[in-house]
Amino acid sequence: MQQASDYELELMKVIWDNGGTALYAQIYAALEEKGICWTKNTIITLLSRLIDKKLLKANKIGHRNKYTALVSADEYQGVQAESFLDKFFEGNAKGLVAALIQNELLSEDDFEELKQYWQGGDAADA
Amino acid sequence: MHEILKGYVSVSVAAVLIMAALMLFAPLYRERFSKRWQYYIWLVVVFRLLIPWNPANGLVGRLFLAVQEQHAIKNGSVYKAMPQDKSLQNGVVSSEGKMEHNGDSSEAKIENNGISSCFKMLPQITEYLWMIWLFGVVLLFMRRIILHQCFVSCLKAGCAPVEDIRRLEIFGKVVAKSGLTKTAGLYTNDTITSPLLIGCFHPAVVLTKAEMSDADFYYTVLHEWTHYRRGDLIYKWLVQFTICLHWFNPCVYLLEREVSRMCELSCDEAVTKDLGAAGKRAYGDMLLRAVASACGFQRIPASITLHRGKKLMKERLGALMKERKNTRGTAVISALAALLLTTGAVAAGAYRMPAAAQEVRQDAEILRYKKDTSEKALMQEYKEWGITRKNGAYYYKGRRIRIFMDVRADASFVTFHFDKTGKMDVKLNRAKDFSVTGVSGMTRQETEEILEDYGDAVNEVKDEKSNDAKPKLAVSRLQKEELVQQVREAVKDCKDGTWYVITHQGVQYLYYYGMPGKYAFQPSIGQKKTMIKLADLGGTGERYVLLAVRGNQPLTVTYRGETVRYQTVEV
Repeated sequence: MQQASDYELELMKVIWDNGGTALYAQIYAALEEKGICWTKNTIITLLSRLIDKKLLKANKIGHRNKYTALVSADEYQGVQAESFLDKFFEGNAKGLVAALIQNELLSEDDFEELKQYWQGGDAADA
Repeated sequence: MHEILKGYVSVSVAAVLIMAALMLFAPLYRERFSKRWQYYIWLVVVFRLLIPWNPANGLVGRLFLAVQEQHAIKNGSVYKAMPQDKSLQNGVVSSEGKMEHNGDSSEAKIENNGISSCFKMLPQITEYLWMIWLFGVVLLFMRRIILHQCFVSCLKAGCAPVEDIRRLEIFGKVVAKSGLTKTAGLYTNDTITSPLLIGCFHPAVVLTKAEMSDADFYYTVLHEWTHYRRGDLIYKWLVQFTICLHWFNPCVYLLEREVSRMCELSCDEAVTKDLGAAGKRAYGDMLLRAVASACGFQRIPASITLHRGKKLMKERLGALMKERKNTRGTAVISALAALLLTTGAVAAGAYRMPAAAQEVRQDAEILRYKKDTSEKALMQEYKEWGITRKNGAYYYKGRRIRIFMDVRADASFVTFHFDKTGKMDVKLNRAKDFSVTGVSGMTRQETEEILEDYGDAVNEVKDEKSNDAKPKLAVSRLQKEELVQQVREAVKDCKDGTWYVITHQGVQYLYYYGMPGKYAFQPSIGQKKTMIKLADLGGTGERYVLLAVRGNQPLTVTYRGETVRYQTVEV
C-alpha cells in the first residue's frame, strides 16, 4: 500500500468521515468547513493521485465522479504504523514504546492500557 | 483513388502559392498585425492542404484539367479545346493540333515548353504513384505517433508529482481563471530542458527540476496553460497530419516551422496582453532564466535546435519590449487581409474530381472514362438537329459531312471531325449553358483555315478536286519530292540554317533547313502582301520548312515572333 501525502490524507479523512464514499461537491464543502479552501484543480489533482495510489476509486454517476475509499481508515493506519515501525524501529515495537515514553508522548495510563492490550490479546482500545 | 492524390497534389501547389504570398508580404504585416493573426492565418494554408475540394475549379485546378485534357487528346479519345483563358493557355497548354476559333478569325495556338511536357506526364505517373504516396502518408504518420508515444512514456517514467500545495494552488488558480472545466496535472521531470504541456484529453504541465521563484512558476504555468486553452496541441497535430499528407512537398516543413514559431510568439502575446510594463519584464525574466537553466541541462553544447531556440528567444524578448497599438484600423485591415487570403486560397483552388463536377460533359476525364454513356447522349442530341453518325462518318440529313464542328460558347470544341470524302461543312453552335442554339454552314474563310491546318490531307483533297471550281489555296505545305525539277535543284544548293524564297513560275517557295521538329504555319493574305507566321510544334519532323505561296506578293515571314531575313532565288 502506498502512502498518501499530508494533503492527500486530508482528502482521505474527508472521504472516510463521509462513510467511505463522497462526491466532489461533498469533499469541497467538508474541506471548506475545515477552513481549507483549495481550488478545484488542486482537489481533483490530489484525488487522481490517490486513485493512482490505489487508495481510491472513482465511479461516474452521470457527469459526476463518486469517489470511494478502497481502504478503511483503520486498515490504512495499521499498515502505515507497521511500515513506520519497520522503517524506524526495524519492527521492534518495544523500541517504539520506549521512544514514546522517553519523549513523554505516552502517559502512564496510556502505557497501562497498552500493557493490558498486549497481554490480553483482545482489542481493548476504544 | 489516384483522383485523391491528384487533388492533394493540386492543393499542394495552391498552398505553396498562398505561402509564398504570406512570406512575401510578411514585412508589411509583421509589426502591424497581432501575433495571434500571424499564427492563425496559417490555418488557411493548413485547411487548403487538408481539403482537396473546391466549389469551382480554381487556378491550379484548371491547370490540372488542362494537363489532363492534353493527356486525353494524346490518347485520341477526346478532342476538346481549352476555354478562352488566355493567361492560362499561354503558360501551360501545349497544343499540338489544337485550334481555337474566335468567331471568324482562327488561329492555331502553338506553345511548347518544358513545363507543359512535365505536366503532361503527371496524370500517367500518378496512376501508379498514389500507392507510394498513401504508403508514405501512413508510414510517416505512424512514425510520428509512435515517436510521440515513446516520448510520452519516457516522460511519464521520469515525472514526479508536485507536492508543494502552494504551487498546486497557484496553478489551480490559473486553470480556474481560464474558464475551462478541464483540470490538469502538475509534474516535474529531470529529463526535460524546458517546461511543456502534454495531453489533449488529460492535460498535464511538466516543469523542469530547476528551482524557480513563485513568480517564475506563475508565468511558466500561465504560458503552458494558455497553450492548452488556445488548443495549440490540436493545431500542432493538425499540422503534423498535414505534413504527412503532403510529405512530397518540401514547403510543408516550412509551414511547420512557421507555425511553431508563431505559436510561441502569439502565446507570449496572449499571456502578457493584460500585463503592465513590470509584468512584461517579469515574464521576460522568466523566459531568460528558463533558457539559462535549459543551457545548464544541455549536454550537447552547440546544436542547431539550441541555436534556433536562441534566435526564437531573441525574437520573443524583442516582441515583449515592443508596444504594438491595436487600433480599430489594424483590426479591420487584418480582418480584410485574412478574408482576402482565404478567398485567394479558394481561388487558387484544387483540382476538381470528376465525381464532384456538375458540368459533367465539360470534363475531359469523364468523357474519357464514361465515353459510352456521354456519347450516347451526345448522339441523341445530334439526331435532334439532323446530324447522325454511321461507321465513324457524320451525316447531315443524309449528306456526308466533311468538317463537323460542335462548338461551345467559349469557342472550344465538343466534337471536331474531319472527313476528306465529305461533301458539306456543318457547325453546331451552343449557348453558354451548353444547349444547342442551331446548326449552320461554315464560311469559306473558316473552312480554309481549318483545311490549312490539315496540311497533307488538304493536298489530297486538292488533287481529287483539281477540276473543282474552288480556288486553290494560297499557301500550302510541300514535301521536297513534290517539287518540280528546277526548284528541287535550287533547294539542293541551299545552305542549312538560311531562309530562302525561291521563285518559279509565279509561285514562291519558302525553304529553310534546321527546324527542331514539326512546325505550324499561319498565313494571312492581305491586298498587297502575304504574311506567314511559323511556330514550333515539338516532336520530330522533317526538319525543313517548305511552303508554296501562290502569287508574287511580297512575303513577310516570322518565326518565333521575329521577322526572318531570307535570300531570294529565281529559277
